[in-house]
Amino acid sequence: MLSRTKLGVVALALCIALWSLPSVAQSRPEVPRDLRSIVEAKVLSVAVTRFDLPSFHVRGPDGKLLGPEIEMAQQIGRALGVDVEFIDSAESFDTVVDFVAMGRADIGVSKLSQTYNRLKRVRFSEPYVTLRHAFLFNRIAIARAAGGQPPAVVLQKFAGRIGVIAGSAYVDFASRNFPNATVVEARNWDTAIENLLSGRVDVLYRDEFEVRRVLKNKPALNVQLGSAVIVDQNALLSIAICDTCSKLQQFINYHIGMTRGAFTLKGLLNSELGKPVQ
Amino acid sequence: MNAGNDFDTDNSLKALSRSINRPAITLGAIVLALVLGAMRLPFLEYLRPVGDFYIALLQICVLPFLLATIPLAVRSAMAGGSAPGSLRSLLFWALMMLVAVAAVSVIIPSLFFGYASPDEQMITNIGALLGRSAESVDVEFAIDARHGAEITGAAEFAILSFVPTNIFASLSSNDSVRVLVFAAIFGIGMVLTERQSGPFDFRRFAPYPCSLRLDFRLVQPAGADWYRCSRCAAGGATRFGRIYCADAFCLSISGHRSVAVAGGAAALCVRAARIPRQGLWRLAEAGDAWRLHP
Repeated sequence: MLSRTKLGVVALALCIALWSLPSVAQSRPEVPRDLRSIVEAKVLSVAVTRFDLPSFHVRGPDGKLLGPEIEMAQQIGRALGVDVEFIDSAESFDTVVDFVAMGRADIGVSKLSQTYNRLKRVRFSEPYVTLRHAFLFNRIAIARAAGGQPPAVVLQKFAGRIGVIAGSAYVDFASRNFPNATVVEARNWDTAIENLLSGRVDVLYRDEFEVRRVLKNKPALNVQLGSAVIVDQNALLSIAICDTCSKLQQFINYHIGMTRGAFTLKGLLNSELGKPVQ
Repeated sequence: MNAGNDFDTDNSLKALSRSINRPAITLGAIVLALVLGAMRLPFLEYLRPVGDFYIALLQICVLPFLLATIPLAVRSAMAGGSAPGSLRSLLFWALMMLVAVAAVSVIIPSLFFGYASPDEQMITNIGALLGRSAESVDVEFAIDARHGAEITGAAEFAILSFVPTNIFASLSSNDSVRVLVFAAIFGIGMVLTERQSGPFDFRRFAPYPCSLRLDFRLVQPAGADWYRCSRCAAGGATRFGRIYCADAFCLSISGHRSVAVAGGAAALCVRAARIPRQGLWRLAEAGDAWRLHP
């Protein structure tokens, strides 16, 4: 009788133990997304903008993505031994960062500048190229505002209307560096240039490459527009990496270190992929 | 025989030079160049190196010409007592030229664009020209207030920017205006020095060609110190000889050779300045022998 009771207790304990096993498994924390999970999934998902970024990444005639940023992502994929999947539906630069922050992509590559706001949400690699901030300005408007002083004096504490691309890092940069200016956001770069030519804004704020590319591709604009470089402000163009991916960040930094010099201002300006401004 | 051939060659070169350097030929060449340029023939691209070479030859003359002529011009003007007149004349012509250039730059475009309004292609060409002349960007500035003060200051005292802080940097960057200012200051300094210590005799430089060897001294063997010092001292006990001795000593101890060698060389120099010249030339020959077979 006693032995039957003992046997019953042991069986009951065993049942309870077996029943509780799945719940233990369920309560164990999820493995954070990082290099190992990417290698196991055999896919590196890369977010890029839906629009072209001439000299960085563009769509070829067949709709296929081309350009040094695309090559860089593919090189990283090859080094990891995984396939690369491009998610090219981001409407803006900020959306690329959103995709990475929300887990829709592992990394984001689209001429992304590091900013304080973005760094709160994602990691960034070492910069693969550093470009100085620059203005494309209306010569007459700035000369009028200068009133005989050098243009640099006016531009340094600019208080007019600054045009920037909506959802770009330059929205942050403009409000931080030129607090007295009115920031006018344009849908894209071409619209921003139209705004400048029509006098809706006095200057456009972006990096040295884009400013010089505009004047290079359309020399007639040199008559109307001038270019200015801000020597103490740099855009650190980096790869956005998921916030938990510390090992992946290390891996990408190593790759950037090994391929340093692949992106240069001169090379970008002379790139066949820098199509003329419409 | 050889002398006769040299003479003939010399004469024929002079004759060729005279026949080429005629106004009609120069003007004809300019017209031909304009016509060919307007025709834009593809083969003209192959002539570019010749043109570039010629322009480079002209450019290398500019700065040495400025350095050689301006100090002497200032000196002769000041020494001859015609400095005030020259200055007045210079200012007058500078102002006249300024007005003339300004007038031309206003009148010619007004006339030109009055008859032919610029089309898109012309604006593109002008823009390309502007873009090239600016080379990279029109303005550089910093947001940081300290850099900003530099920019403002530089604009307010733009005239001071013509005064060279490093003449060699100005020479290497083809900065003609700064070289011009340096040459003028040098000329004034030369005249003022002369007034204090007598006329300047350029022939004094003649016994010291070895000064030009200074640049190569770091790659010379130690025996070259002896060689150079004895050569210089051979010129006699002059002010330049002593200056050179001090200079050689300083450079020796700052170079890779030992202080002992430098001190010995300098001592030899000082001593050599008092030795008869024949003896010094023998020393120089010994220095040569050591230099060639150290």
